[in-house]
Amino acid sequence: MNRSLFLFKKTLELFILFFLILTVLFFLFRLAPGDPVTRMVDPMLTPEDAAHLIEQMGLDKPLTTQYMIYVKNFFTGNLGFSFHYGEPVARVILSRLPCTLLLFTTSTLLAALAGIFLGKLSAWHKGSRLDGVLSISALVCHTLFVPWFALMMLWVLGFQVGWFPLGGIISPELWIADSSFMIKTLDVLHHMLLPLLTLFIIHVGSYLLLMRSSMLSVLKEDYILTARAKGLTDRVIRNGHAAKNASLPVVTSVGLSLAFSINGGALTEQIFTWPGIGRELIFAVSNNDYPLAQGCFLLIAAVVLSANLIVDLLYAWLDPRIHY
Amino acid sequence: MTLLTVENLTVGYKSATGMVKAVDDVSFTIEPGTSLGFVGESGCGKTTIGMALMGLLPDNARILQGRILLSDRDLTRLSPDDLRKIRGKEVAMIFQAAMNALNPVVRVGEQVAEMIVTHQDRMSSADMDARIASLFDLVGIPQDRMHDYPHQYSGGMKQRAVIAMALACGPRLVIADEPTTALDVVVQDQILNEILKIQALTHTSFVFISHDIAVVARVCRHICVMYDGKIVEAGTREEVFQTPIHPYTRQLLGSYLTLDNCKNVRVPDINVRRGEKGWNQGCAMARVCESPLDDCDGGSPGWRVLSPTHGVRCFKKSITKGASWEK
Amino acid sequence: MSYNSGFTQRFSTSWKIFIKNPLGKAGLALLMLFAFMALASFALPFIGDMYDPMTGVDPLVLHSVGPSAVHWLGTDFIGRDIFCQLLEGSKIAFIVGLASAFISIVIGTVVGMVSGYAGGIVDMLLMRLADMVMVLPSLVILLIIAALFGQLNIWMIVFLIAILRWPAVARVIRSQTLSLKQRPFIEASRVAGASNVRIIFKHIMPNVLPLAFLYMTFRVTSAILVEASLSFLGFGDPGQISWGMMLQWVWSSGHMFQAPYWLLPPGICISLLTLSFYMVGRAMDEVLDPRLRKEGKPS
Repeated sequence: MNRSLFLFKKTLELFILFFLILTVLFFLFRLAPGDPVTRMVDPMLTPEDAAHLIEQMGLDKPLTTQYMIYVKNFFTGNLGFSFHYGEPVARVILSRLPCTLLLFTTSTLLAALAGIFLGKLSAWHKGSRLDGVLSISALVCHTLFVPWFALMMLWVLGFQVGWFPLGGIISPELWIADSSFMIKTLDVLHHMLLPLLTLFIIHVGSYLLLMRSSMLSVLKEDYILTARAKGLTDRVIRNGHAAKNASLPVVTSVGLSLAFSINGGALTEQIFTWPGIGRELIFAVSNNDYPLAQGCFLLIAAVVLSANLIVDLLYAWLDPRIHY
Repeated sequence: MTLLTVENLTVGYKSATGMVKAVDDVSFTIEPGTSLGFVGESGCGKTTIGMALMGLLPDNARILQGRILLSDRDLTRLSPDDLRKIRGKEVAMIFQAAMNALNPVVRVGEQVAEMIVTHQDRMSSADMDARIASLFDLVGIPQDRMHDYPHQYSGGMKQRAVIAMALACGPRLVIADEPTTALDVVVQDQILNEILKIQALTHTSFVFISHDIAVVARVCRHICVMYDGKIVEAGTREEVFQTPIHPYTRQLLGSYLTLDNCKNVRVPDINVRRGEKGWNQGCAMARVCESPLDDCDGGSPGWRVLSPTHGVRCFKKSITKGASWEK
Repeated sequence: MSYNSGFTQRFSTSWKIFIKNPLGKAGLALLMLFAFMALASFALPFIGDMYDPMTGVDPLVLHSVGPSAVHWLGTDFIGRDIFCQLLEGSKIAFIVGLASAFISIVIGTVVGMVSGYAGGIVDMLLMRLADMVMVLPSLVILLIIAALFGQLNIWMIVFLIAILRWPAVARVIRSQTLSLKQRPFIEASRVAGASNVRIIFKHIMPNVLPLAFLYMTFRVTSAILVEASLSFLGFGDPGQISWGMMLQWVWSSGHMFQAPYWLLPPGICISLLTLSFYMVGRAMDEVLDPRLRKEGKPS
């Protein structure tokens, strides 16, 4: 099998999964107690507007027709109107997506890279003081309760020390004035650092532990002995041979732990009032803005699945033994 | 000039109960261009000798005594980095390839190249390719397989690649530890022929380690038989095969089936009295020896020279021919 | 009889390895501390109405004050005792963690054994399903369900966490079953005419159970964290005080920068309890032969 067929198979698989999620969500909305119409149509609308919306979503039609319209609407980007914003859901969530992606990808990438690097050192110096300190801290990071840790960061670094703003993504006063692009960028970075640091610390531990155990088992492999017998320097053996193999399972685990990262991401967004999808979802659920909640959920599912696809491709690219 | 001289080498492993000697007072020499074979059962210390020669003993092992002289340098006294510079360049090792001696995610050619890069001056990539191609020719791998990954190779080809790697820097001594054990008989035969051919071509010395005395006898003119960390008998191939003295050598030869001896093969029973727990003085061989003497309980036998090349570690003066295995 | 004595002996050797491990020792000590706290919460009704974690308001306080002799860790925004809430919270954490982990272990073990033993199309379908469930973010799913079905009660939360978190267990048990299937004693009992159900439950299950228990400790950790997060966001069971809910109160009542005596304890408790379960798991991991497992650790 060649690469493009593999890519096609993976994409198809994830597409089917997404379709399943879409379908399950459809039925959940109809199974839940209460009138499904009130869930999709803002009770505050005028009767004419409401009737128009019901017509558009097919809420007066039989279930199968409703489902067809639902799927068609989804793929044409029509996710209904948010009760709270009074705007199309698609427009609301698409404006939130960049914020989430910015925070999420940066923190995941940094945490994975740092975890791989530190795990490599920890395993190489197994039993040393460095290893002890790294492993124990990683264990603590790994089991930290995300919201509490975020609150602590906010309290200590934001409130007590005052290095960072207490929330949001921008300082409005800087944006109203005619600020240069540079200042705006720095402002966003300044706001981003605290949530980024929080997510980084939460995730780096598990990557470190995983890399460490993976590296330890690789170091027992015969080809490491071969490498030593070839007279290669320790640095080449550690970085060129051991770490290269040991980081493969870590790449897989990035994919598997994405679900976990999304949970942490949503909580972090909520506490730092970072205007991302996770926070929007929590807001929508708290305010019974059902169309918005549904849209956020589907977008999160799409992000998780695409990220999984990227991880699979990365793995296939890194490991020559993969069977396409 | 003698290439390698090992004197009274004793290696111990730290265990929960104290130091356990895996190699006990072993001495031998190797002349340039010759090969020496070590035979013995698993756990007899033959691999530990190989690792000691490479300076690759595990962390819990210590050289308790003895010297390893390569030309005139004592390897046991070198710093780890000096030892590393010798590894691969002057002393190389061939491992059993079926057990993943090649890194699965690095192209085979690169794995050979990095060794040359480590030990020799920089060369252009065209020179490097030519060098690797000639090595592949030497061991009989098609040149166009250079850029393949190990999993695309067959077992025999992997073994050839491992040999190519060992020869890459033109070492003076190659240690081959069970190089053909995991291969089927036909491939094993091809690899052994290849090694003989290479040795004739390059004039490299070989230390050949195997549990299979037939394999060792094909490649090596000199054979050391090991038991329980000691060399119990050493001699030329002919001496060891035709006039084996030590009971363990005789058992090894006896368990090696040929059409002629298949009727007489008999591995002796374990000697119950000496096999008892706590019985630890005397000759270690006594528990499986077919006719132990009273002396054997008293202490370990010393080294007895039979000819300039033949020696044995046993109390028995002579063994009447033909009276060997039947009772 | 002989089986039992063999079992006790195996258990005692395992126990010796376990207790030698500093992680295992520390984890177990912490666990016992939290278990004691959970048990102590049952004594609260006998001490006085003022110390009821949910309804016990101190009439002299009625707002949040710092630690004192009457209220060891201070009171919350309407004058309830924080220490009592902390004790009550450890009870809930244990219930949620253990119950949810137990259910997910049962599901995961059965799916893993059936999948590994049956092979073929059954295996493929079950593992695809596991892959799918594995990538779902449990907190986000619970949020959307909470949005649709209103406030969930604690048992509903326990159950939902369990059915979202079995795949990692199933994968490990499956690979263990696959290697067991190759062993002669399974073949022998099949030749002897044992039914598939009997082979799975009589011969395979006893051999995968230690591994299942190991993974239970990791599942406990994730279940506690998910429940606490949900409560923190305000979607927990309103009838049950949990540590996550305490944090929610300190945050939503605007006390988080003013009341460290209130902010610190619940967070430290959640983190320490999950850490101790995790440490016990890691120590158990070293007792069981790690070569038996091929899959990575769950998150």
